[in-house]
Amino acid sequence: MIAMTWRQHRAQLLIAVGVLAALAAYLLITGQQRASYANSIGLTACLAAKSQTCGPLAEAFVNRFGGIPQVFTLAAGLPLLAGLFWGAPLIAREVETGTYRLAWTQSVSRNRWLTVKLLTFLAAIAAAAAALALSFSAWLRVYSQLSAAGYTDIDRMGPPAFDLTGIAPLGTMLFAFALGTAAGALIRRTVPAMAVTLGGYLGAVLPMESLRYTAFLRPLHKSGPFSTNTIPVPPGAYQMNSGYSTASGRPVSFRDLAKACGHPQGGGSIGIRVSCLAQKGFHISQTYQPASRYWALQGIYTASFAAAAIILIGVAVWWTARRVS
Amino acid sequence: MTSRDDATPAVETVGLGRRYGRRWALRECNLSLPAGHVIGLVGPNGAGKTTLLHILAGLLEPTVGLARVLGAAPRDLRTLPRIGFVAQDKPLYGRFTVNDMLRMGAWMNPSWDRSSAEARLTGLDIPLGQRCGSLSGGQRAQVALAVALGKQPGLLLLDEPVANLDPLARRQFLQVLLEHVAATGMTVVLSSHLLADLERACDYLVLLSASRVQLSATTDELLHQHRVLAGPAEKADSITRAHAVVQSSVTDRLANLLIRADGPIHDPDWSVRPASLEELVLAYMSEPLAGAAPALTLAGSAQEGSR
Repeated sequence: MIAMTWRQHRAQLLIAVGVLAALAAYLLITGQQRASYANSIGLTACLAAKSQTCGPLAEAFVNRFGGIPQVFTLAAGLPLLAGLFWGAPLIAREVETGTYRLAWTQSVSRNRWLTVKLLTFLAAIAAAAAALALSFSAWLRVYSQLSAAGYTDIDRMGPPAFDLTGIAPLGTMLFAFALGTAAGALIRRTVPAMAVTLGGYLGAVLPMESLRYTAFLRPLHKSGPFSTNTIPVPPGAYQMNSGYSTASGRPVSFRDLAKACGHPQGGGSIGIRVSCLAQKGFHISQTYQPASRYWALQGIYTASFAAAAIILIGVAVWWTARRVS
Repeated sequence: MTSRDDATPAVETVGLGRRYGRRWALRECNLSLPAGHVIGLVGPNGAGKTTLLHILAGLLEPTVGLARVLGAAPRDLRTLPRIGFVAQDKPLYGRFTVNDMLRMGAWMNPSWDRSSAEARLTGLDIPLGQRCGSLSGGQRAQVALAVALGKQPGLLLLDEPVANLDPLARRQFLQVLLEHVAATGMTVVLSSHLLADLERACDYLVLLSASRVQLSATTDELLHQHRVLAGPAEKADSITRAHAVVQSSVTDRLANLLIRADGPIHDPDWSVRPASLEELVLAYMSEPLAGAAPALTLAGSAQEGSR
């Protein structure tokens, strides 16, 4: 049955290997450029020595290479492809072309037929997710070092790097695949199943992009007397919204501030109003998730998608054994 | 592989039925089909032939009733290796080569006869390297049959196997099938909405009409039992009392009856000849209740006609 599965799906699997190999090669080359530049200007050595004076070198590096290219946001959508091209056709295509009547009347039980296919794709997903996360983490290494030393906030805590490192790709890829498989089993037609997979995946993943910072672990707050400077947070933290509060900690809106110390468009310099606000005891606060929570957040994020995937696979298996045909 | 107990029916169903929503595709199906026959399953389109075969092949769960195939439940793991099934449109994997299909047979079946499957296809000049998606209809049918026969099944189920084939491919298909039957003694159930397709191949007939079984007997028995009678209308009643009338057309003076004879007919007023298989199948099909409640219903309708 493994030989059968490989013969039937080798094209889908080999295309994925090709796509991932091309992406890994691109990440390797561009990552190498960044690493060797950081070496050549002495940035790597400076950071390794934990010197406090790497600022100009860090600035030179960021000026040269910028942050994470926009195109990587697209790479964060790669797991979706596992749902569209592996999951959705898995059962739907057999039903659509009638070949299920061939496959299920050989000597292999329907459950075993599906189990071998699912395990094959799960192994492929594990390999693909690992390849994606490892090659992107390698690409990100210089940024991670800069972030740990507090020179940049470009690191694995924020999107799209959070989606492309650690175990997050495994979770989203499993979810997409399971969603596609279940949709294909229930709808029995490939293209509509792909459409449902696309909609369902975006409907789940896009809200999670912000929920993962707010809903999993209560964000930390840091506040200080009102000033024009931002509140410094620990290096590598993911910064969320900043806000204002009274001295007692009650949140206030910008409108309240304007009421207390004159309208922003009213006369007087900004400095006067800032000092007015500071004098009246207003505070500025910053919420954030510290870098130390990276693995905890990754774990919860991945586990929620994996749990959804298990339920969807269960639905697909049950429905195939009972209701399809 | 083909050793079988002739006492165990190849197919047995009790009160079998399958409902789709409110519509019954098959109902109250009671069958006991003996092993070692080539069994024709005949009935008009929509009579439930495909539903019955899909239940027997383990593809479909019945809504009610019981089905046993070679003495076990269709979905039983012991059953699957012993049945062969070819679906109506002969599904094959379009991207597979013919050779891949034969390899599939080996991958998915514990006992697989590669050499005779291959010999059968090369004997028909079907290139093993060709993709299944580009085969002709007749070649597709042959490859599907070769895969099913390669399993060395004790029971082969064929759903409308020759419906879309040209006459030559049709003959070739049945020829390959019957050669295999002659060599192995395998039981075959094959369906068609046209009796003519099967007449040459079958020695047992099941007639399915209006989702119910109307006839189930060997063709010899059927030919032996059924008679076509022509005679005076006023004497029709004496016939309907003594025999089961399947179909009757009675005018003022003349009665034409197709009967299941319960003993010989000696009255010289009647001209008697044996019914052909085609005639009797058509008669049962056009009288959907004939099999279910033979004498009473039809005697009534014959009397109505004679008034």
